[in-house]
Amino acid sequence: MSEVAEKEPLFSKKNKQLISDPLNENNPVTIQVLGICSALAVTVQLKNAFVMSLSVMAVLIAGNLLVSLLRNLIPGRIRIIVQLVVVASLVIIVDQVLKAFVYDVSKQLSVFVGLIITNCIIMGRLEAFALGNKPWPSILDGVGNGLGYGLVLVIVAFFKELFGSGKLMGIEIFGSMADGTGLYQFGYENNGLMLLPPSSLVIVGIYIWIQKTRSPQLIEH
Amino acid sequence: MALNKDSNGYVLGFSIAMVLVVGTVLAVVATALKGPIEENKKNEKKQYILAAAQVKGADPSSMITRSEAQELFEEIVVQRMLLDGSGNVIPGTVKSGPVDTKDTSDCFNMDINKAFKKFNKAWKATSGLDNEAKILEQQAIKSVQQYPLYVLNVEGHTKYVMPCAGVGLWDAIWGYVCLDSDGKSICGAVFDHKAETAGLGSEIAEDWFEDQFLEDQGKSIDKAGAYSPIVVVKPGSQELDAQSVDGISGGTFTSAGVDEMLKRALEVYYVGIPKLNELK
Repeated sequence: MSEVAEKEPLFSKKNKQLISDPLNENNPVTIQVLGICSALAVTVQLKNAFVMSLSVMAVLIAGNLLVSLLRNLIPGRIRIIVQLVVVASLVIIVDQVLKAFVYDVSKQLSVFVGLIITNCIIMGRLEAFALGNKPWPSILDGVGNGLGYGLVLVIVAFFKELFGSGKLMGIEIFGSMADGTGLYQFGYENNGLMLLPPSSLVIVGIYIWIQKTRSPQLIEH
Repeated sequence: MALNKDSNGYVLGFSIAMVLVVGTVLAVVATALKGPIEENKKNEKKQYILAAAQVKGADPSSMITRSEAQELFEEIVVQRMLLDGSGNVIPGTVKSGPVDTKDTSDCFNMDINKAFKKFNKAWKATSGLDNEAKILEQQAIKSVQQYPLYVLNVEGHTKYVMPCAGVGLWDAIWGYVCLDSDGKSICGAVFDHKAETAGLGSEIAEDWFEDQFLEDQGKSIDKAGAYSPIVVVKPGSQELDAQSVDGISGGTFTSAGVDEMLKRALEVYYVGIPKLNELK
């Protein structure tokens, strides 16, 4: 593939697809079912989902780039270990930099920064893409998959925060529950189940249902 | 390339080089960033101590900022000291003025989470003992604990801020509670956690939870002249009185952790602060 890529423009059709594919027909969460764990846990609030998506995207891009640059040097027998070391080091550096310069953001992310190491999407993309492609397409692949992951996270978090706490980005949408105003004065109550991980599964399930109904070619037979 | 990437020598060499490079990079990053990180943590502690006493910065609608706290800390915190398990001031630990980070007898330098871990380990070890020995052992453990106390002068009023540490669902939780000069009425609290679930246990650090400890809520650790701990109850399950606050739906273990740490820590200060007032 290298001789073709040599003369390609930066945003050729193929490269554009690297970004657009993971948003729908090759979405890492809903189609490849990777990174489900954090999609279930970090989606109680929209704000956390945003920050988590950004962090994952940052690590994904940097990891893809590094592994792609090293792809001709990495011995095949220990490639998984090498990928793990690259991802783990990147995450630790990101964590330390956040703590030193944007302490408040690092507090919000708390454990989730560490959990990026175990996000299957990152290892999956390093193994499946970066190891066999040039740096530029690898960066685009990182951006695309980061966006695809973020899209699902944000959509899930939107419904969870809205129906679980009646808020979006921390702003009360349905009126104040404490004061009994807005919808709450008619007896509306927040759904406690929406705050818990199982509801994410239901929302992701509905998402996949809608996605596959709209694009029947995605249905496996 | 003539290099055989699958040979043992290459794999070994690659691994060694990788470890050396990664190790060096991480060590350099960690050393370079240690200063700012420590500074952030120290200032956050100052921020929490002042925020618990409801000291406000330029923006009165939110918590005082870290840099504001750094400036105001020495001015507002007039004394820092350590109490023993019976509420007496440990001699030589009363400090004021700038914090000397190397002075181990300064309560500001005490890591309350580490102290709690040590305490918790010793406490759990007593579970195998029979009843009488257990009670004696637990009393002994309690009596050797050290309890930091900050005396604040907020616009002419004396207020006491005390840290407390405990354990939530996943990891450490801690907080700073402010008592009025009578040592009974609660006039503010700040909580934080290391790894509670976002949106559930982590709610203890949110305004709505902390606001239950504000002065106008009338919470008190005194009921008819005796110590009565603050209880964190299931939200909506009962009418709240001066000794209870709403817990978190879906954050039961974290709520129980807050309940436990407040109960354990405030008991000592309930005895200690009147003793301090008598000395004045």
